[in-house]
Parts: sequence; structure tokens; C-alpha cells
Amino acid sequence: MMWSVDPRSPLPLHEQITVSVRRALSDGTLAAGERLPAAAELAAVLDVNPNTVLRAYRCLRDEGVLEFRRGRGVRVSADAPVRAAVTDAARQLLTLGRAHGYNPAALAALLEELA
Amino acid sequence: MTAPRQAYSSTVIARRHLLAGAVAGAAIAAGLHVLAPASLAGPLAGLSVLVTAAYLASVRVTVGAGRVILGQGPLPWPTRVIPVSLIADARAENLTSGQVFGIGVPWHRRTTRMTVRAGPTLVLSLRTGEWVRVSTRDPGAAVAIIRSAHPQPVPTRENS
Repeated sequence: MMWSVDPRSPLPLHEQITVSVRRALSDGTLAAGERLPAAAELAAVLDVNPNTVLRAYRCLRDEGVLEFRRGRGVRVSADAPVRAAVTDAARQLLTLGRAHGYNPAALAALLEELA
Repeated sequence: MTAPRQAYSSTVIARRHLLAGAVAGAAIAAGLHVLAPASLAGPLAGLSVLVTAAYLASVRVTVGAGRVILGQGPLPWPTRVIPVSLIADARAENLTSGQVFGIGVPWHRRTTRMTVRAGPTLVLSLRTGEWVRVSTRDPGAAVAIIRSAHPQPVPTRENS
């Protein structure tokens, strides 16, 4: 999979790393169960601090996209592709809602209404 | 340094190696158990074969920021770091089953084969004269990053 970071981007570096993982999941270059490079390895090739990569990995773990296995590195969780697609769609809904004056609570109420 | 940075990573796992290791490990353990039922030699030998197969079944490559990092086995170590400045040439190849010889162990002091399956392979020619072949999903992406970091490879006797 491809990783890219741009220090000039307004998006924080760790978020750019999470975007790389989500993009790879959505275009199929990263599959469930696949192992990601160790944080130190990825930090070395992206020329960023290892803590930045760890922060990105932790965010993705908290979202359920990645699993940490002691001594065996970081893997893509089994339901990550579906979860990533749903999270991506929710983000798009949030962006669209905000652009039209809907706050998250109003969007949640709308979803409840539709369900 | 503020320019955008790109990296490529891939892990290839040869499930056939794992299956072969499990079958061979079980066969050796059963065989030794028949010969010496009370001995631990059977289970230990079987486990050793399985662990070796697991080690040889997986290769990973990470490319970017002036270096190529190669690793083998299920653990994050050991790794080999190759500076891009040491790479004379990099190219993508599509190996056939007949061309895939070796299971990651160098059979020749000038060639390292980390080819766990046929198909897309990253081929590196080092300035030391060594060749490194690594199974990877998209070797073209790895080659593009290596070439962008080191745009004018110096021709060597092998690649000129």
C-alpha cells in the first residue's frame, strides 16, 4: 500500500497516516488480516516521529480498523473494510450536514427518523 | 524538510509454505513419536519445522525516505536496511513458478531471494554486486519511490 504525508498540509501528520490506511482499505490494496509495518519502520521511511505513527495506529485501533498483537505487530481487523467504508460515509454525511447547517445531533435525529 | 513524502509497504504471506510446514511438522512429530514414544524429540522437531516454515513464509518490504527495509517472518524483527544510495538499479519483474527458486535463504553469496511465491517481484541490484529479489504486491510502486529518491542510477557491470 502507498503512504503519503505532506508537512505543508493543514491536516495533522497522524491524520494523514490514518487517511492512507482508510484509502488503502477502500481501494482494496489493504485487506483484512494484513500486517502493517512496525511504527519505527514506517516512521523511518516517512521521515516522521515514531510517536506520530503510533498515534495514527492507536486512532485506527480505537475505531476498530486495526488490532495490536503483542510481539506480532499491527494487523487490519477482520471487519475493517466494512467499518472503514461506513466511517467514511459517516464523515461525508457530517461534512455535507455541516455545510447545510445540520449539527451532529440533528443528523443523528434525522438518521433515527429514517431508520 | 517540508516536501510531501511517499512510502510503500507490503507483506506477502505464502500460505502454501505454512501448510507444507504444518504437514511436515506433524509427520516428523508422529514419526519420531512412533520410534520413541516417551521422548520429547518428536514434538520439538515438529514444532521446529513449523516455526521455520512460518519464518520463511512471510516477507515484508517498506520503501521510502532514502531506504528500503526488508523483513522476514511473523515477528517485526530481524530487518535489513538498504540505503537507496547503495542501490544501482531497481526494477519490477513478474516471476513464473519455474523462476521462483529459493525460500528466502541466499543460495549464492551474491543473491538474496526472498521470493515466497511466483508473481510480482521487486528486484534490486546493489552497488556491492549483490542482487536482492523480494516478493511484493506492487513492485512498480516501490521502484517509482526508489527512483524518485535516487533518480540517476549509476550503471554497473550487471545492468549496463
